[in-house]
Amino acid sequence: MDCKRARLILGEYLDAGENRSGFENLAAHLAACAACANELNRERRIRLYLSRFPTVEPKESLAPRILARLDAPRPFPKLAYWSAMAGVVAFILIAAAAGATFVKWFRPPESEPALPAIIQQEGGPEIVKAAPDDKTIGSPQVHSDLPGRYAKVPMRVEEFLVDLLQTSQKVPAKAKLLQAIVEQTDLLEGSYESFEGEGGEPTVYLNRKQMRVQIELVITQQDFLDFARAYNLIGALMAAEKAGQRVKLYETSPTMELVRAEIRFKTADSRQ
Amino acid sequence: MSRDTAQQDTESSDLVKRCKEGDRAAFERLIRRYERYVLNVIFHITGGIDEAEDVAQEVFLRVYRSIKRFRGESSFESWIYKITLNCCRTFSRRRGLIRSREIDLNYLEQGGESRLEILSNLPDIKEDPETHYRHRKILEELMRALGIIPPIYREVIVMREMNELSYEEMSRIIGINIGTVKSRLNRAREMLRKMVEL
Repeated sequence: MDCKRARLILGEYLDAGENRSGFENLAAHLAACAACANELNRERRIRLYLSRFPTVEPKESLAPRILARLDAPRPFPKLAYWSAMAGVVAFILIAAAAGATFVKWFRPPESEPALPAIIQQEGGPEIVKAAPDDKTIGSPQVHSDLPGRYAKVPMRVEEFLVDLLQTSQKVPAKAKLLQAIVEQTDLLEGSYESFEGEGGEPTVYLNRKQMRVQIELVITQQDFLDFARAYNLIGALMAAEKAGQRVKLYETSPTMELVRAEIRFKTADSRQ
Repeated sequence: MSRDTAQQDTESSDLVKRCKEGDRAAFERLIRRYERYVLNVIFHITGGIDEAEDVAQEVFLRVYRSIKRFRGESSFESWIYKITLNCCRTFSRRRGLIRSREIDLNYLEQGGESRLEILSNLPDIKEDPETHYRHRKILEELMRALGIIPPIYREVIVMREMNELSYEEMSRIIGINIGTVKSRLNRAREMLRKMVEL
């Protein structure tokens, strides 16, 4: 076992307590590596400090105030007010920026965007790579002949996904899609389960500090056509129309900026 | 399960049942039972002391509105934790528009302008001022680091190290599989070790 792997699972090793079967390799490494043994001690100390974090005590008045709110018409909370105000200001700014961007990027349609090359991996699924200079990655290019509101709105893949979740999926499909995204990526955070007592509506938001993204989407033919046509970013998706509807997007990103994107198509056979 | 825990579960179940029937007194007892727990989860996840009580109110209002749909398939603690986590996420998202998370131990110990009382769990300063100072600096550094790491990692640290939840409970509450819980925890712990001088 190397030091990198050992240090990654030190916490799990401590969590195991006395029952450390399965950690024999780590134990052997710790016995031989003073640096990692020291790191284990650091982990122990951090736990100790975490257990000593300050705590807060509720005031006597908390319960009466909650009870008073049960029947009262919902007040407009201070935080919500300022959030709403911030939202209004943000909307105005975004609208202004979007207008400016549209003016800058808009151009009359010249020809259909070329489909990206399809690369066949030996023994693997087809991979379609978007061109490196494809401005639709991170900042999709605008095409005026595209249908619907996406025609004039540049979107990131993340925004596309959120929109897909919010507008184009029935609840069961949405939950399934969200489950895959939450479990397999750091792109979205949220709860995908049918949330007991909360109406079964999943909540999502973007994790803006995500470092790595891997997305697997299953979309309907109609969604696929509607959305794929809206992007020459996902111009590659248009090829998927022929290859099947299971699409895998992969990207790596230090921030929200997309630096690479691959779209993997899997046929029904390759899913097995 | 210990006898005390079993008794508490029974009492909670009874309170939940009465709340479903519209018993306000039972709901008040439910608040009293969980207010400290909920408040501290919020405080540790968001780091926002001034707003923690507002978020706690929102949590209990959501509990009240949706308790009839609580079917008891999970424990009440898990259920209320899930609601608390969702409220924290909503709050953090809104606050992100205004300011970032900031934690100041002096402010916390003095109570700042907050209506909450802070219980510092640091060792007693009278015993050894120098040691106390050192502990305090490390704790401040750790609190700052916890505020910087991405929310998905902060949440698992709070759940595991402060609330002592099992992997299984964390998996159910967050809605991810146990393998992902473990990998998030590993990553979170590694981040903290890199960020804090010990």
